[in-house]
Amino acid sequence: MTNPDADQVGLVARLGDALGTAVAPGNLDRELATAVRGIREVFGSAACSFAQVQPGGETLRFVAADGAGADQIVGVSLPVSRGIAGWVAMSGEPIQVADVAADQRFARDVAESTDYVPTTILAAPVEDEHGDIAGVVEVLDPADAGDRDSGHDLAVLGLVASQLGSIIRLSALYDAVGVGLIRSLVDPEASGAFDEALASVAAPEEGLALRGVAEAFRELANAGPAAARMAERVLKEVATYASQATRTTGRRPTPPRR
Amino acid sequence: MTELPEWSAAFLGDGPGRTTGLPLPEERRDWAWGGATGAGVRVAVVDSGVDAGHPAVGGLAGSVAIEPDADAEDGYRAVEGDHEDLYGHGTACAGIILALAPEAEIYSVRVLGSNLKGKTSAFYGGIAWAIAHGMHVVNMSLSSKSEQWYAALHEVVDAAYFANVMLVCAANNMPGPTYPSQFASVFSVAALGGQNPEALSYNTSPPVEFGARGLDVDVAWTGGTTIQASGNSFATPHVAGMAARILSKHPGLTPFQVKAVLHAVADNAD
Repeated sequence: MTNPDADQVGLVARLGDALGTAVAPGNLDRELATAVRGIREVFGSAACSFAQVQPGGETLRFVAADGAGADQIVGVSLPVSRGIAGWVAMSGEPIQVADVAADQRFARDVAESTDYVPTTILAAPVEDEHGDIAGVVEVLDPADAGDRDSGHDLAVLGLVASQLGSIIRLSALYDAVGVGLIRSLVDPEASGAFDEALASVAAPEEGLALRGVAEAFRELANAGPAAARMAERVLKEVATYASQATRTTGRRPTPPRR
Repeated sequence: MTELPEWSAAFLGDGPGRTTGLPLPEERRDWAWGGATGAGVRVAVVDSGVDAGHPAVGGLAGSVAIEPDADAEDGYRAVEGDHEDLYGHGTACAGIILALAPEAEIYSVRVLGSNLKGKTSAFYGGIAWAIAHGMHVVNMSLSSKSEQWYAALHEVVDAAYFANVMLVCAANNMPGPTYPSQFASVFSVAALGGQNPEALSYNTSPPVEFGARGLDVDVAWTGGTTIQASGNSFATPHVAGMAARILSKHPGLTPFQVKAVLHAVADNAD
C-alpha cells in the first residue's frame, strides 16, 4: 500500500470517530465488572470472578472480580493445567466443590494469589461464538450453600454463564465490524480506486449514518436479552459481509461511469 | 431468557414420570448385576489423569496421555506410561466407579492438559485409543460445544458403538447442544440428588437419558484427599460403574442391550 496522504488520514480518522461507539475499548471491561457484581448479589456470595482464556490457550487471566480478594485477583494469571477453573475450562463442565481447602495444591495456589481462601466454589465455563471456551466464571462461598440444593445453584450459574457468553460474543462482533470496515479501507489490493472507495465509505454524511447504526445497536444490546440476541445476529451478518468484501475486492465496488 | 436445560425440567419437580422396562427375569437388579464386581471389564477414565496411589483407587491397569500434536497425522499423540492427575477430577471418577465395581480394570486416559487449543482433538484421540485398546466402558465427564468438531466426534462415537464400546458421557447443564453427550449412541447422564449411589432414573424426554447421583458426593481428589463435589461429571461414573457390573455378569452385551438393561432397572421403570 502506498503511504496515505493527509486527506486519507483525515478520512480514516472520521471513519474511526463514526465507529467509535461500536469499537470503543473498555466497554467489555465495564460490562464484565457489572456482571460479576450482579452474579455475586444473586448468590449472596463472598466473591465472584471472571477469568478469561488468553490468546495462546495456556493461561486464564482474572479480568473482573467483585467481593473478597477482588483487588488482589484481578490481573492474576493461572495456567489452565491446574485448579478448579482450569478443569472447568478444559472439560467444559460446570462444577461445585466444597471443602476446597482439603486440596492442598489448590489452597496453596489461591493463597499465592489472594488472601481469601474459600470453602466452596461454583464454577462454569463461558463460551465464545464458536463454542470454544472464552473463560470461566467462579462464585466463592455462596450464602446458605449447605441449605440449598446444589443442583439448583449449578443450573442458575449455567444460565448466568450463557448470558455472560452473550456479552463477550457481542463485544467480539463489534470488534469484527470495526476491523472489517477499516481493513476494507487499507487493503493493499485496493490501490487503483482506493481514494474513491475511501471517500465513499468515509464521507461525512455516511459517517453520521454509521454512527447512528452503531448507537442503535448499543441501545438494542442494553434493552434486554431478546433485543441483544437480535443485535448479535444482525452484527454477525454485517461482520461476515465485511470480511467477505475484504477477501474479494478489498474495497467497495466502483459504480459504472457514463 | 434462555430456556432451562432439558435435564433439569425432566428430573426436577414431579420427575420424569414412569416408563415400561423390558421384563427381565427374577428381580431385575439381581439379574442385571447381583453379585457382580466388574471383574474382567476394562474401564477407561477419559479425564485429567488418575492418581494410582489414592486409597480409593489402589492401582491402575494402564495409563496413557493423549496430547495435541500439530505434526501428527491425526493432530494428537498417545504417550503411554504413568502420569499424575492434574486436577483431581479423574481420580474422583475412578473412585466412584470402583466403589460400585471394585474389580473393574481402570485405565487412565488423560486428555486434559496444558493448552486449550487442540483439546477437542485430544477428546477424539481418547475415544479412538479406547476403541483400539479393547476398552469395554469409557467414562467421559467432559464435553465440547465446538461446531468444528461435530462431524469428527460423531464419526468416532459411532465407531465406538459398532465396536461394542460403551461411552458414558456427562450431559452439560448449560443451554445448547454439547458433544458427545448429544449423540444417540452414547449413554448421557445428568445429576440427581440424594445419597444412594445406586439411584438411577431414566429420562422419558431425552436427549439426556439417565440420571444418577451427582450432588454433594464425597469424592477422591489429589494428594490422597477427599472433597465434596456436585455436577453431572460425578453422576457419569455412577452409570459407568453400573455398566461395568452388568458387563461383568453378562459379557458380550452390546451398547443397546446394556442401555435396555439400565432402562429396565431404573427406579422409575415398571
